[in-house]
Amino acid sequence: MDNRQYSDLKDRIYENDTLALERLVDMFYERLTTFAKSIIKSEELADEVVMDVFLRVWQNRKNIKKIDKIETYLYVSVKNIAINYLKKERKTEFDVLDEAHITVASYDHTPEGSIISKEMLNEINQAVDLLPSKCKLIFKLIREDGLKRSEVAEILDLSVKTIDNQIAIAVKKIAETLRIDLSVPSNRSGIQLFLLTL
Amino acid sequence: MKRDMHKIVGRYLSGEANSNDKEVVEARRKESGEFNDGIERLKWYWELKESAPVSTSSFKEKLKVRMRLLPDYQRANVRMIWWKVAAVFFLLLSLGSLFYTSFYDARDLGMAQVITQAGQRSQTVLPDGTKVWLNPGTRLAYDLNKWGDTRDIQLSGEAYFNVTHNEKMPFVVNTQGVDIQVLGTSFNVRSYEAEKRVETTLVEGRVLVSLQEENKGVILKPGEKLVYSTQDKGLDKSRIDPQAVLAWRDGKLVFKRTPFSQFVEKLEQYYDVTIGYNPEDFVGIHYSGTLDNLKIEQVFEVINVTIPLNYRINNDSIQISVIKRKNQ
Repeated sequence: MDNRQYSDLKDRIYENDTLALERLVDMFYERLTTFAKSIIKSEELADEVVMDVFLRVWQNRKNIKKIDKIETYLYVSVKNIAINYLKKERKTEFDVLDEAHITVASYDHTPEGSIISKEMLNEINQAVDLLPSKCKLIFKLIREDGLKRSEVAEILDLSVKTIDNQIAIAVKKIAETLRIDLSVPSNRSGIQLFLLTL
Repeated sequence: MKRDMHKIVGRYLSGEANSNDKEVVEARRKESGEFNDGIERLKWYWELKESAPVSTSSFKEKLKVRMRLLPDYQRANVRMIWWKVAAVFFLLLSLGSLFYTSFYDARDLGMAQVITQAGQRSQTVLPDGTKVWLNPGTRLAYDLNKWGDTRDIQLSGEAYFNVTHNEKMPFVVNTQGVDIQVLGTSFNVRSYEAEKRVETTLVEGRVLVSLQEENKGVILKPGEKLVYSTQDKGLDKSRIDPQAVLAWRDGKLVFKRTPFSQFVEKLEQYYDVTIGYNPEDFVGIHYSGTLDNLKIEQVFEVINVTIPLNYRINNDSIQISVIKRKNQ
C-alpha cells in the first residue's frame, strides 16, 4: 500500500464512503487487534478497543485529511484507548511496554528443501518467545506488521536508536539459535569494515 | 563492532538498510561463505508469513451497527440550510417537446415534474441551470417549496445529468431508496422500478451514492458504475466505458456483446414497440454495435448484417425469426 492509495482511502472516508472504511478494516483489523491484545490481554476487550478506533475514525472523518500517516495513527489510537481501558480498571500508572504480553507468530511449516529444519524453527520460536516483552513487541511490529523503524518509534514513543538496539537483540538471539556467527572475525575484516563505513 | 553488525543485519532484514549497511553486508557475504549462508537462513525465517488471513466480516457487521448509532453527519450535511434564496422559482424550461409541469396547490407550490412516455425522449433545464436528458418512461420531480434551499430531485426511469456546480448546495437525486449526491458533475442514473435496481454511472467529477435505509455510501470516480439491487440490497461497483451508457442521450443505442433478450428489451423501450420472437432461436446470440438515430425498419436491416433474420412489422408489433443456415 503506497501513500497515494492511503490518501485515496482518506479522501473517500472524508466523503462518507463506508466501503472505504471497510477496506481500512480489512487492511488493519488483524494487526490492530493483536497489538491491542498485547496491551490489554483480553481478546474481547481488544476487539472492543479496535471497534472504538474505527468508530472514531468514522466520527472524525471530516478531519481525516489532517492525519499524515494513517497507519501510525491507527496504532497510536489503539495504544491510547487500550491504556485508557486499563487505567479505568486499575487506577494506577504502569508501563505498557514492560507489561505487554506479546505472542509472536510461531511457525511449523518447513517445506521440502527448506534451508531451516523443523527442529531449528521450533528452537527459533522458543528463543523469540523468551525475548523481553519490549524487544518482542518491537520485533513483532517490524517483522510481522511490516512497520518502519521510525513508525514503531512514533507508536511506542521511543527513539529510532532504541528500536535499532532492540532489533539487534532479537537478531542476535535468532542468529545464536541458528549457530550463525555474525561477529566480525579478525582485525583484517575489522579494518575492512571500518574502511567500508567511511 | 559486534553489536553494530547485529543492528546492520537487523536493518538489512527489515528492508531498511541504508547504502552503507548494504555495502557492509554484501562485502561480508562475498568474503565468508558461512556468513552468506547465515544471512540466507535469517532471511528465510524473517520472511515467513502466517498463511490464513483472519476474517473481518463479523467485525464489520458489528461496526456497521455501531456506526448507525452515531450522530448522522452525512444527512445533516445534505440537509444543511443555506441562506434563503429569494423565493423566485423558475418554471422548467423544456428543450424537448414532451413534458408538462403541474402545481397541486395554489399556496403550496407543489411539485414540478417532467415525464416522458415510452418511446419518447426529452431534454430539460432545471432552475439552477442543470441540464437533464430523460430516457423514455422517465419521471423527474422536485418540490418547489424546498427548491432553492436544497437541490433534491426525485427520479424514476433513466436520466443523464449535467449538474451546475454549486459547492454550497449539493445536488441530490433520490430514487428507489438511494441518494446520489453531487457538487458539480456529469452522471447517468438508470432506475426503472421494474428492473429492481439503480445504476449510477459517473462521467465527470465525483458523486456519493448512499442508501437511505442504511448508513452506507459509496464514492464514484469517473468511469465507474455502481449497481444497487433493490431486491437483495447488494452493491456492485465496476469500471465501464461511460460513452456506451451515455450514447442514448445523443439518440444512439450502443451494444457491447449484449445478450439478445436484453437487446430486444432495449429496442422495445426505445421504439415503444413489442417484439415477438422465439427465445430458443436466439440462445447464445449476442449483439454488438451502435444504432445511430435509426428508424425501426433500418434497425433490422443493420442487425441483418450480423444476425440473419426475417422480420415483419405490423404497426407497433414486430415479429422476428432466425434464418436457419444450411449445414450448421
